[in-house]
Amino acid sequence: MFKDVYQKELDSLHVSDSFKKSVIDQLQAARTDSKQIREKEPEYNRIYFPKIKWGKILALTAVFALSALALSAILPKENAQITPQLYNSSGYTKADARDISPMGVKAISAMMVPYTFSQEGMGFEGYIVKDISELYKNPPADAQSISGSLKVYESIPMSDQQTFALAESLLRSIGKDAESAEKEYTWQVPIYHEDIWAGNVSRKTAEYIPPQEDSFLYSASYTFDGGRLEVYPGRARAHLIVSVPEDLPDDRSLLDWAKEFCKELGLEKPEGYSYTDYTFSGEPHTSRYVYDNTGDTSDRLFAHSLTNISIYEYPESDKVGIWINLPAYKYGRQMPAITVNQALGLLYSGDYYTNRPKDITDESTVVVAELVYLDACYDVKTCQKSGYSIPFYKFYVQLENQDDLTPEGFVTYCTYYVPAIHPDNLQISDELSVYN
Amino acid sequence: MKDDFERIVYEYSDNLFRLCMHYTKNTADAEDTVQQTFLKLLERNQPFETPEHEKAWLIRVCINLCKDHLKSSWSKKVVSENFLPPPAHTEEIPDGTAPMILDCVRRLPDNQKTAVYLFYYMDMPVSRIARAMNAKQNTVLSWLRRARKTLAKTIKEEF
Repeated sequence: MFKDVYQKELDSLHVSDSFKKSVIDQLQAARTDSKQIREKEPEYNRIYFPKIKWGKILALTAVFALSALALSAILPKENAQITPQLYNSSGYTKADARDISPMGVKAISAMMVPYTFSQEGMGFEGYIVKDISELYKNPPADAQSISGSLKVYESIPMSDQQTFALAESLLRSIGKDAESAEKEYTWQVPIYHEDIWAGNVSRKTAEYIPPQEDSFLYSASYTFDGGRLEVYPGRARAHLIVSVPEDLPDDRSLLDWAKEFCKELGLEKPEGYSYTDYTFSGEPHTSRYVYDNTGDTSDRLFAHSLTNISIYEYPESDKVGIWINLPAYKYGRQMPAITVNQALGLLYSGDYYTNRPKDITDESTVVVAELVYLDACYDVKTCQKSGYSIPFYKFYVQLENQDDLTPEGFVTYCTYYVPAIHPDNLQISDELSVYN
Repeated sequence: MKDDFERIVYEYSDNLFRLCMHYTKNTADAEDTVQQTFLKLLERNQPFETPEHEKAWLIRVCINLCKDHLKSSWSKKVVSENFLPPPAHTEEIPDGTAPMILDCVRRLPDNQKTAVYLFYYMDMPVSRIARAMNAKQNTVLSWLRRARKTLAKTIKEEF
């Protein structure tokens, strides 16, 4: 019986009496000194990353220097200028929802666009910040400017050969070669229980030889001196970790460095942005992205959301990690869009997607809206993306009656999504899957 | 006040530790998280309404600290170079090897494994689990249903 065995296993886990006593003593001591502790806690100021010296990128061999001390990150200047656009229920009428009408374009046959939201992290997509402006991502177009039509994009599978060609290209861009790298291939092998698919298991090989006929490549990894590259064809992502030599004299920001690196990868007009959110303990985390700011409004918004490169540092080592989201999409079609006010009407009518276990109410305060593209569905059986990427209005809503788990001085925002495509042209299944 | 701290620590330490072991997978981090959970009590200025409120609050704090720990590691990417995003698969259990049930539960998504722990080990009713996890009751039921389905495949038995 599951429950009996589970209980027995857990009963064997416990803390020692000495641990309990030490916790009690610590609580007593902390209680006595609590006033002094509060007085010693510093004011929480805007975050500045300590400086680090970056080396110059030497032509195509791209040598990146990172001192062992720290990093500097310069936020885009636009962050300081953003004024949150305040929406609340008193500023809109029910007529907005009924006002939505086809844009004079013949209705296109509906597409299946399945998405769901990840339940990880705080249990729903939420952001803890000191001020909403910290989440501003400097998009190519603000939500308020959207009108007319927007593109949707169809995902295209990446072949194994394309995966290897990409890996070789990425390695060349950092002065390494695929030939001399130590390779490992991870395969997904489907297993069946009484002829019904029961899941996949992983198998690794040192050669590009499928372990059995119906297996497929999940990832290829290349380990080289000072780093490692992994490419995931089904997820259309690559992960690069590079180690760097001792610091060189010039100061560079992490975003500036990343933009130059992306030029070597073939981006025509690399543009960078970053935003900061915090953990439950108030510890900041900054996310940094670079995307190719070319094409029309849809193309640039799509790149801003999805086909970008994110960079992160390893603070206690000489490494930097890079996630490269690959443009494994092709242009699908142009579709009529709704405005952000029309989407807001749908939001307050209850027509939205969220993984927050609470509904929008008339008291909900929608603080800002963004236009984002969400990734196509990820098929867990084939480990491939399939379907379409469509645009959504992403509404940030302040958590009502913030509980005592939000650190003092911070605000929690949760998100609600409304498709930006006219609802007459969409057919969305009950379960939505998204991986961003 | 000494008696109150002592009561709370003795009453909740083991169960919070067992909850943490679903997330942290090593005893040192789990003990750390249990300790931090109790320290959070000092920052709380209002009394608990009922013993159930006290329990739910401690569980929620503990879960969030566990997720903080994971989020911190993920955000900083201070992980070994062997880190790979987990592929979507179920590990095949070799024939003749009895699986560790706890290990199977650990592999569930966070909300599902917490719901399983609170339901099957702590014997909490769905309504109290919903309060502890700040979720709707139907959502908790859905998590338990999905967890049972996944666990049934993994350990190949009905329960």
